[in-house]
This record gives sequence, C-alpha cells and structure tokens, in this order.
Amino acid sequence: MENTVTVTIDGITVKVKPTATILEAAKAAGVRIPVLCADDKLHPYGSCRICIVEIEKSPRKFTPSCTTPVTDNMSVKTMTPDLAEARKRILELLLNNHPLDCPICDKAGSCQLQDLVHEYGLGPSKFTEKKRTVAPSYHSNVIDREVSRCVLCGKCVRVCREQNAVGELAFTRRGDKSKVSTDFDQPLDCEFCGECVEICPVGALTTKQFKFKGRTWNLERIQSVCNYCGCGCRTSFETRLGRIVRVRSGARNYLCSKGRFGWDAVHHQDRLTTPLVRVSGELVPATWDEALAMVVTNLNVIKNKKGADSIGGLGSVRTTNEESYLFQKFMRTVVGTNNVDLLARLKVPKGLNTVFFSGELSKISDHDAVLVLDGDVGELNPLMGIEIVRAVNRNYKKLVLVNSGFNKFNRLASVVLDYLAPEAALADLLPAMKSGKGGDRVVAAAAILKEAASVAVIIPGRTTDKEFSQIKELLSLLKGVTTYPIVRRSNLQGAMDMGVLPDYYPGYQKVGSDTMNRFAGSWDAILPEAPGLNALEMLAGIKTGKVSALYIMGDDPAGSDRGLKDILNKLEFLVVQDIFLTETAKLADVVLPACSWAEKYGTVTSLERRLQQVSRAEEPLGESKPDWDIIQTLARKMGGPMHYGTPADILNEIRSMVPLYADLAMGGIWARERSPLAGADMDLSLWSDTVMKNEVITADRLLFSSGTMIGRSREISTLCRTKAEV
Amino acid sequence: MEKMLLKRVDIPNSADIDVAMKNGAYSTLATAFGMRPVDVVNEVKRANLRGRGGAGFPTGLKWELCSRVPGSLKYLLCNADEGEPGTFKDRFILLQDPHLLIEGMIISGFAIGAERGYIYLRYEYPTALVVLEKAIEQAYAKGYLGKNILGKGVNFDLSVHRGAGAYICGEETALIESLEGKRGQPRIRPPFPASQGAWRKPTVINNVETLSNIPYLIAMGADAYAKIGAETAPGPKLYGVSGMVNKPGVYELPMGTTLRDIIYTHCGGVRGGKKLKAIIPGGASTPILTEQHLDVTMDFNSLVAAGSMLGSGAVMVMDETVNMVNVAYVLVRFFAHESCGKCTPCREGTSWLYQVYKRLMHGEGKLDDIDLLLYICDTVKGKCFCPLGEGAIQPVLSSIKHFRGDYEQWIKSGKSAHV
Ligand SMILES: Cc1cc2nc3c(=O)[nH]c(=O)nc-3n(C[C@H](O)[C@H](O)[C@H](O)COP(=O)(O)O)c2cc1C
Ligand code: SF4
Ligand code: SF4
Ligand code: SF4
Ligand code: SF4
Ligand code: FES
Repeated sequence: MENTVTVTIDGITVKVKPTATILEAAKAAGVRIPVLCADDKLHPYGSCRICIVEIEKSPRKFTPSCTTPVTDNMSVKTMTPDLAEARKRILELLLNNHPLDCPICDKAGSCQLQDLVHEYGLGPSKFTEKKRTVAPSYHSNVIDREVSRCVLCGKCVRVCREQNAVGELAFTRRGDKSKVSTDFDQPLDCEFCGECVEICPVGALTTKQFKFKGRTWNLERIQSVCNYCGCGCRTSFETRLGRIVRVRSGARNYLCSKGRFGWDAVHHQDRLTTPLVRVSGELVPATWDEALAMVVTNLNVIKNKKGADSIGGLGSVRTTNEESYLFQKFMRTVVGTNNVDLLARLKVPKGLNTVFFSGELSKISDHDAVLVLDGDVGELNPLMGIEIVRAVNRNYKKLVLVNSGFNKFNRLASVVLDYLAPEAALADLLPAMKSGKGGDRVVAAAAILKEAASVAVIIPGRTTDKEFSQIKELLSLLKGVTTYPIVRRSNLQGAMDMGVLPDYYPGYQKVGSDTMNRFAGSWDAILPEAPGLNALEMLAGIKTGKVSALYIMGDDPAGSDRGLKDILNKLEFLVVQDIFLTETAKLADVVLPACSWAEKYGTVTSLERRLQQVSRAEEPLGESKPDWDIIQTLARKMGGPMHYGTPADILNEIRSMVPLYADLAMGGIWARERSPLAGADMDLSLWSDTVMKNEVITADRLLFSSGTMIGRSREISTLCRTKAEV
Repeated sequence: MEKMLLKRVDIPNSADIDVAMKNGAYSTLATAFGMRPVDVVNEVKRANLRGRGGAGFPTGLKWELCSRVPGSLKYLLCNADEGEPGTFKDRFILLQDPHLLIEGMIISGFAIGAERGYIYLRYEYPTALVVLEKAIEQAYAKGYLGKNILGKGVNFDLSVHRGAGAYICGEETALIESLEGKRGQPRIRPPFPASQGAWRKPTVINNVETLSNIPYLIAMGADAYAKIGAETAPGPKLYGVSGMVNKPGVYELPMGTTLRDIIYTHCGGVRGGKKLKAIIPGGASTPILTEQHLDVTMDFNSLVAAGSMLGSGAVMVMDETVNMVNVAYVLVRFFAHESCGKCTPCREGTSWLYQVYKRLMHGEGKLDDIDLLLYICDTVKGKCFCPLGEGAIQPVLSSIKHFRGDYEQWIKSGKSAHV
C-alpha cells in the first residue's frame, strides 16, 4: 500500500498522500477552502492568498493551503474568526482597484470574486484613494481583455503555458502595475482555444461572441459533444430563449477554438430551410412531399432499369450513429445494394480498427514516454495535443517527437527527430532500437523508448504502406504500448462501427452468407449477397456508367476536390442531404435539408470508441429535419418498414444487432478485443493518388480548418483573416 | 581585529590576479582539495557560519542538504544582487577583491559537488561587471577555473549573469527564475533550491560575503574561526554604515559588535555633533531602532531580541533633524516600486501604503491616516508570498511605534514636502 499521512481538517481526520497539499487534504475531508488562483489543472502558484488556513502549533499565523504540503498529524483549521477577517482583508485589497462594473460584466453571477465578496460580506472599504484603471484591449479576434477587472491570479498565463504550451499570455511590469499582456501588447496570435477565458475567475477575459448576450443565471445548459474532430470533447450548449449563445466545456476539461467558438456555423445564413429540386436546370424550393417523391421515382426507375447496384450511398462522419446505421440499412434493405461507404476512409491511418485502436486520451500522461510520429497532432486532434503537453508539463514524462517543422512540441520534446517524413525517421530509429547504433538523436530517442516501461504512440493520420509496416515493427520493440491514431473526422469511428462500409455489416461483421442470413432475418429484408463498391469504386463506376445514382448524406466531396464535380455531373441522379447548400449539393437533383448537430438527439462514438450523447439545444431550423427522420420517411415511401419514434429506438435496434454496442453504457468505451477484426493484420482505409489527394484546408492553419461546418463559422473565419493579414 | 575579508582591498590594483596572488589569493585551494568534500562541508558546519545575505541560515547545513541529493549536475549561485537600500558591502568585495569571491566559489563548488557556478550580479553594478569578468578571465588563464584545477581533477566553470534591475531577484528563488530567463518572481517552496533549484537541479545560493568567508574559514580551520565574533554567529562581518555619521563606509568587525561601537568608535559619531534619532540596523526591511538600542550587539539573535533584524548589516543612521514620516515614505515608495506583483497583500498593500504616504507628504493627511496605515500593515502582515511584502511594512510599523509624534506633528502642521 502506498504510504499515507494523517491530517485533521476542522476536526475531520483523513489519510492522504504525503505529497498532498493542505487544500487537497481538505477536499478529501469534504471541507471547502475558498480559492482564486488554484486550479486542479495547474501547478500550485499561491498568489491570491485567499486560501490561507491556520495550522496548529505552527510558528506562522496563516499558511496558504494550496501550496503547502501536509505533514503527518498536522491539524488544520480552515475557518476561524481571524481567518474570516484575514480573507475579508484580502478581498478588500482585491477590490481596491477593481472597477466593480458587475452590471455590465459578462461574468457576473459566476464570478468567483463576486461570490467571495458576497460570502464574506464586505462592508464599506477603508480605501479612499483613486482607483487605478487600465485600458481594456478589444483588438484581438474572439477574445477581449478587460484588464482592470483582473485580479492577477495568473491562471490564464499558466493554462496557456502549462496546458497548451502556447505561452501567448504573460505578466508585464511589476507591483501594482503588473498586468497580463501579450508580447508588446499586440493582438492575440495563438490557438484561440479560449481556455484562458474559461479559467479566468473574474470577467477580465471575455469572448466577443458572448458579449452582452445574456446573464449567466438566465442561461439553460444542455450537455452534448463537439462534432469537429474525433476527440469528442464534451460540450455544454448554453441557450437563452431557445437560442445558443455560448458553448463551454462540458467536463471542465478542454475545448479548442473550433469546439468553443465554431458552433455559430449553425446560425449561418447559408443553412438550408426547405428541400430543393432541380427544375429546368435550376434548384428551386419544394415541399418535402415533392422532393421525396422525386427521389423515390428516380431511384426506383434506375433500380428497375439498371439494377440496385447501379445506385450508391456515401455516408457521413458528421451524422450520428443512429443516422449512419439507418443510412446503411436503407441502402442495403430498401435500395438493395451494399454500395455504401465513407469517403472519409481516404483520411484515416492504415490499420485503424484492426491494428491500431486508440487508448483513452486522458491516459496519455500515464505512460513513461510519448512518441509522436506526426508533429501536426495538435492541429488535427487538438485534445490529443493537449494531453501530450500535460504528459510533459504536468507529469514530467519524456516526449520523442518526429517533426519536419517547428511547433510547440519541439520545445517540450526530450528528443526531436527532424525528418521530412515519418518513413525516413523510422528508417533510422528502427536500427537504433535494435543495435543502439545511429546518429546521436536517434540513439537518444531509442534509449528513452527502450527504457520506458510504457509508451504512448501517436500514429499519423495518414501513413504509407512502408510506414504502416515500419510502425508495426517498432511497436513490437516497445513495452507497454498504447497507440493513439490521429482521427481528424468527427464521427468516423461511429460511422465505421455502424457498418457504413461496402463489405461489413454493423459491428465489423463481414458481408457473407452466414451474416447475411442473420441480418436479413432481423431486418426482415432480402439482402444483396456480394460486397458493394467502395467509395473510390463508386466514383470510378460513374465514369464507366456502372453507377448511375448517388445518395450523399452529409458529405461534400465536390467541395473537397473540385475535380469531382465533373464526375458527379455525369450521374443520372444525385440526392444530397446536408445542412448547407454545399458545392456538392449545388450539383444535386434533389437537396434534402437536414438539421444541424445542435438541433437533434443521437449518439456518436469518439476516436476513443466512447459512446456519447448528442442533445438538442435548438429547434430545427425552418423545415429541416434530422437525417434519421429523413431516411426513414424516404424508406417508408419506398416500401421499407422503418418506424422509429426517436433516435433511442434506433439505438435499441443497434444494441440488438451490434454486439460491441449491446451493453455499452453512455460514456463507456467498447473493448477493442471484442471487435471481430481486432488484431487482424489488415487495412480498412482507402488510398487514392488522385481523389482528394490533398487535405482541404478551409483556413490557413489546420487547427482552424475542418471543412463544411467550420468554414461557415463567423468566429473561426475571423481567425483565418488575422493570419492572412500578417 | 585583524582584517580578513578586507585584507587586500587597500592594496593598489588588488583586483588583479597577480597582485591578489602575491597577497594570498588562491592559496587555500590546495588545502581544500586535500580534504574530502564532505570534510569541507563539515568544517563549515562546525564553524557555524551563517549566511550574510540576510536570513542568517547556517551555510554548512544548506550545503549538506544539497550535497546529499544524488545526481551529478548541481549549481552554485552567488547572490550579488545587493539590492536592499543602504546595502553596499558586497560591492566592496566585488570591486576590490573579486579573486577572494572566486576562490570561495571554487572551494564551495568542490564541497557541494557543483561544477558550474554563476554570479548573479545586480544590474546597477556595471563597473563590478567589468572587474568580475576580467578576474574570471584571469582565473581561467591561470587554471583556477575550468577543467582539472591544480591537476586535482576538480572542475569548476564560472560566469556572471547580469540582473535586469529588480530588487526581488535578490530573493533566492526569484533569482533562479531570472537566471533561467523567466520573470523575476519567487517560487513555491518546497521544493527548496537545495533539492530542485536552477533548471530543477540541486542548487546552493550564497551571498557574496558568505562565500568570501570560505577561503579564510578553511585556511584557519573551524575552531579558530568560531572564536571570532558572536557565539551564535561567529566570524567577521561587514557592516555598511551610511547616513549621518562622520565616517560612513564598509567596516569589517567581529560579528556582534555593538551599535554604539560601530557608530561612535568606528564611524566617528553623528555628523555635526547632532543628537542621534534613529537607526535602521540591517537595510530597508529591518525595523527602525532608536538610541535606546545603542548597546544591542549586531548579530542575528540579539537584533531579533531587540525587535529588529541583522539583515544585510546595512546600518543607516539618522539624526534629530530627520522627519521619520519622510523616511517611511521613501522606504515605502521603494517597496511599492519593487513589489513583484505576484501576491495580493504585497502588491495591493504596498501600493495603498504608498498612496497614503504620498497624501501625507503633500500635506493632505488626516490624523486618522496613522491608524489607516496600521490597518493596512495588519492586512498585509503574515499573508505574503515572500519576505519582501512582510519587510515592506516594517518601516511603517516601527516608525509609527517609535515616532508617532513625528506623524502627528507633520499632519497637524499641514506642511507639504516636495516629493
Ligand atoms: C526580497 C529579498 C531580497 C533579497 N536580496 C538579497 C540580496 O540582494 N543579496 C543577498 O545575498 N541575499 C538577498 N536575499 C536573501 C536571499 O534570499 C538568500 O537568503 C541569500 O542569498 C542566501 O545566501 P546566504 O545564506 O549566504 O545569506 C534577499 C531576500 C529577499 C526576500
Ligand atoms: S485563447 Fe488559448 S492559446 Fe490563446 S491566449 Fe488564451 S489560452 Fe492561450
Ligand atoms: S485575466 Fe483572469 S485569469 Fe488572467 S490573471 Fe487576470 S484574473 Fe487571473
Ligand atoms: S479537440 Fe476536437 S472534439 Fe475537442 S473541441 Fe476541438 S474539435 Fe472539438
Ligand atoms: S511578497 Fe508577493 S508581491 Fe511581494 S515580492 Fe514577494 S511574491 Fe512578490
Ligand atoms: S488559492 Fe492559494 S494562494 Fe490563491
């Protein structure tokens, strides 16, 4: 057993680790000590002094609890008349130069200073001198700094440096002239995660997006999940009169710029509000009945004429699990083809869901060493990047970095392997691992990796065949490996789990006669026997005339690759279901308006394979409908028996069909061993030398880019402009 | 007493290595290297040498803590920030006998197992920078610094790091932050520098005067050394006397010399035969004493018993013409200016005190302001992150305690001083 010490806090005795602070011991004892500058996310700092306590038999009258380690048999009092008076005095000092403009402060109601002053009941102040004021700074994008409200707790400075490794904020000047500032007071030029705003105990840092949008006590909070990358950060939609006014982290963990500010895409004017149909070459508004009838007729005609396999379906990484499930079920049971796939498979690591399964992100820092094979990890999966920083800055773990450029991870790394591609780095690292020979850097890297009893390995989002085999070999040389494949696309995991794949039913059950019979039985349908065309084969099939119609749900291939426009134009019939009139939708014969992420219920599965609940924060815009509802209405019109009242009904069916989800609790992770493909040396990704060859960047920094949605966020687009001006 | 620390300072060109060597510099290296490092540490412990930077922490104990931490990379830092108002004793050694300090650092580094040393030098000592760098260059040339010193396998590298003009960087952990290129603010302790200091490696920080004692202490041995000065804090002490005395300057006297001796015997008494009014015994943050304390001996324990502190041994003498409100004002202004701004009580408290004093000096004071000053001091007291804040209220408290009459008179007079 780990050794512990005994501490008494206000008469309550607890046993804690010898390294615990008094504040932590108090928490363990269930005693609350007020704090301003302390935060679980950060190293202790001890600047505000509000957390002082009295220790029995100490030569000091007051001791700060957040920075003082416990000692055995220590006895602490957290509230005495002297402490109450002392804390009052500290608060009085903090208010001396505070503007007290609570009526127009966005923080009022959730301000820790306001709450403490209220709790300790300050009377009139003895301070009668002139208040010091500092000019606010409104010249940054997204974030405003009301400098006079700052209590100089340093949390913003520390979160930006310790958690983000960005270090955009720092103190300048000293004494009562100290202030939080940027280099030479220039506008922020950072990751714009807003973590500094989130952690500020007062209203000194605020967002432009939320300014004057509501009082915090009037907001409703709806827990949901971010849909901008595979990390699956928990979010809290904050609404006022049924409209989102702010998004915050739902778990007090982290949100990147996209997760925190990018939600405003749902309010973008380009949102589709009615179905559109093509009449004499033009897309014109139509009723749902008209639009769906047109889909039914055309699909039936093509199916009768050319067979079901001349129709294909491209699913989405932005829809819920329920919607992905219904989409493939619709294609398989109603249209009658296995031609259903995800173009996003072009953008995933080789071996995902077979060789590489992700560990829990929060456990990256439990490993002795972290090996990053893609220096862009922080741009592609921001939370994964943060967890790597935490491993180094909080847990003092070693980082081996493969990076051709220079970014924040270079400053954290114990060893940097500066190679143009992982392939070249691995070509040197592998021999060094085996023989201990090579250049200084690879030898140093190999030494760290060999010494580590456990290694977290960040797998690049895209790998060549060579790299795939090199990585597999490397993993066999390491101890205690957990892989962390970079999965940029939000619900890719869920869409794959749900069988939006031409050769797998939901749950990675291979299309074959035995599985076919089982699914056919449960779905009460006749199923096509042969595996379908994959996404690339479908595109190729358009050219050869093999594929005549496509149903694209929530994806914009033409927007990602302009060259696909000509191909899609060759189709006899194209249905696009989306929330915006995307480049692809502009080519469609029928456009079906889906409602946004924030307007529906359902579940998603993060790259950790964690099942998460998505919740509705707003009513669907105009006539838009959730994707699942559109699909089932269409299915019914085509004679398929789909009658789901809510997404929960669909999830129940998924649980009955997909063993991986059978007893998966909300928030739980499905165990990799249970996948039929676990450990198989195979590759579920797609590779093309032409289609979507380059990552489409909708911003000048990968971090601010994520395609269709984020491109329509006003807040995020301001960030891209800043960089463009520089 | 025969001079030790200041033995060479009056010799012309004493900062030159040849002159210094002719007068004994570097002669103790051989003795030290002939001992085991642990014996050097023990010798310092036995001599009961206490740090001369202000806190009076036993040097041997500090060294022992550091030398016991496993690991080969350790640092020895010399605190030459000398920022406390009234303090100018270290400068004397830095300018006149840099080789004494360097020799002390080589031996100290040997004792604790540090092969890398830095002298953190006050920004406002540009001449000392030139002198030190020259001296270090000479010591390298003679093989006293660098690899394999005296062929004994001892390595020690030394360089000067210039501060950027902040008093707080004299505080040891702020000094480390500054040395690492960070903002000068004190760090949380624990971990103490002895276990995790500069770049998180075991580190010893000693004052210039402390380190300069080492060659003599080792040369004469702990027993002889311990016979000098006060029993609780043996050795010679540099007292830097300034203010209204006839002969201000740096005096090397046995630790524990009385204030009366220092002021009247050595410094020739109060200037112009005026009446002594107040004494600040150890630099700006030590409580003010009065003539009734003249027989207090100047060592750590006696001064604490008398309600003050030895601090850096910077004695400031004021005669009857001085207005103590003005004195407190000047000192408070210093602390408000030098507060690093990290913690609430010091940052806001010193700023508030300063504003009240400014009002007093402008003739806008009220009698209630005296109580207000005490109220602010009480607010700050015992809650600061580092000793700067606690020291900042001392001039206020002690001037009001001993000279409340000055405040009342000044406020009632309605006079305004040009400040
Ligand atoms: C605000 C403040 C300023 C200080 N300035 C100095 C200084 O200028 N020089 C110095 O030697 N010690 C200074 N000290 C003391 C150091 O923190 C430290 O105790 C000393 O360098 C240790 O050396 P010593 O043990 O040899 O005295 C200061 C302490 C504080 C709190
Ligand atoms: S928005 Fe994020 S990166 Fe920018 S200063 Fe704040 S914490 Fe740092
Ligand atoms: S801006 Fe906020 S978080 Fe930053 S130091 Fe000021 S009060 Fe603290
Ligand atoms: S890291 Fe990914 S999931 Fe988290 S907020 Fe950013 S985009 Fe969303
Ligand atoms: S007491 Fe606080 S504000 Fe003052 S110098 Fe020390 S840490 Fe800085
Ligand atoms: S919470 Fe402990 S000093 Fe701020």
